[in-house]
Amino acid sequence: MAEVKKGIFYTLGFLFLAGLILSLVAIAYKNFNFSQERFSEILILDKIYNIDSSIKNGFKDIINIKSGITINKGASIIFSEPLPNMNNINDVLDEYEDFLESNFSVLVNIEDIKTRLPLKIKPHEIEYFHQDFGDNTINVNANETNFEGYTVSVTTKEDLKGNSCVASGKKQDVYLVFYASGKNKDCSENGKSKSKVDLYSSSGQQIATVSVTGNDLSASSFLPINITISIDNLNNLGITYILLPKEALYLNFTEFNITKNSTINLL
Amino acid sequence: MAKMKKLLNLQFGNKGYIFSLDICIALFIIVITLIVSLFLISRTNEDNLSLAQQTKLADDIVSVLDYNKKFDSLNKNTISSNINYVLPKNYDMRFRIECKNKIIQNLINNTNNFIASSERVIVTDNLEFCKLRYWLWQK
Repeated sequence: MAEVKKGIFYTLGFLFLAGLILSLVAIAYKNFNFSQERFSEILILDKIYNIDSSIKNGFKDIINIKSGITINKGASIIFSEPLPNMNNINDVLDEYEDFLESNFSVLVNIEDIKTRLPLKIKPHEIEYFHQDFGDNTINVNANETNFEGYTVSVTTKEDLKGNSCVASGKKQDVYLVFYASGKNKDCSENGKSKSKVDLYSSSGQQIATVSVTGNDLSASSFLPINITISIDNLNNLGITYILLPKEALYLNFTEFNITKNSTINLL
Repeated sequence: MAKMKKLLNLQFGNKGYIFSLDICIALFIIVITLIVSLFLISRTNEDNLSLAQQTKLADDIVSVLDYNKKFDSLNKNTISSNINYVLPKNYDMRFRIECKNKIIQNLINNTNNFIASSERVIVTDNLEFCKLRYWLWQK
């Protein structure tokens, strides 16, 4: 009887051991299938990342070449462009959008780029944008006073007088310095104590107006000008980037049913 | 006969044979299951990673060349030499660039190895929009 009991225990023990190992095999097999799925996902995500980064790179090239906006980055960030900005960047953006949608199974939404072309300074959270790209107004919105002020330089083909720059208003959270260069004469308002400067031609026609409210700047032109806006002496918050915020570019990869917003790093 | 049977059964009868047979079967099953387990685990760990690495290599090579504007020439020989400059020696790579009015391609060689392939957008300095497809495999 004792031998029969031993045999039963031996058989049960073996069955338990075999079951354990078979479970291990099942787990390994499941793990293998699981990792196969992850592998496929990694490949898909890599593919999307690759296409996404190349699409962004394309937008960066188009903006750099076609927008007419020049950006210089240093202790101060300087934006230069003609106002109104007549560069027909939207035609090229439309063409690029069509090219992407017909070649890459992707739906592209760039309305914000086409209308406002918002350029964001990170990490300072300062946004340089247009009301409607091609019109005569530029805005700079700053959430915090993490820079000293604005230096605005205007070049015009109009005749100016020594008193063509007319300053008004009280100093805001940041200063405003203004220089204008005309056909024959220049004028300036560099006392850093006013919030608004209007520029008039020698015949009294208004050419442009620039004003600061709190930390924000608004510049409008009534005649064609070249405008340079310098955001002076930004606080050192680490590496500064100039980019199009992620809300500006929306991509829908229809083949994989994946949507994403993408940041375009310009500088 | 009864004497012979008694002799073979010895003290514990034929239980010893069955016990030994049980052990052999058990060992056989254990060894088989272990081998299968190790095989599956090794497949999981090695194959996928090396294939993913190959795909990544192809993407990295093309990204570097794109960021450095090496595709802008849209010249087959220039692009091929730029690729060969950064391509590891044990790999081979081919590409096809489809632009609006132009196709530049370096055709695929026959290979039985895994081929990593992908695609990306190229925007040249002349604002030509092209679709770049590429394939990379181990020689």
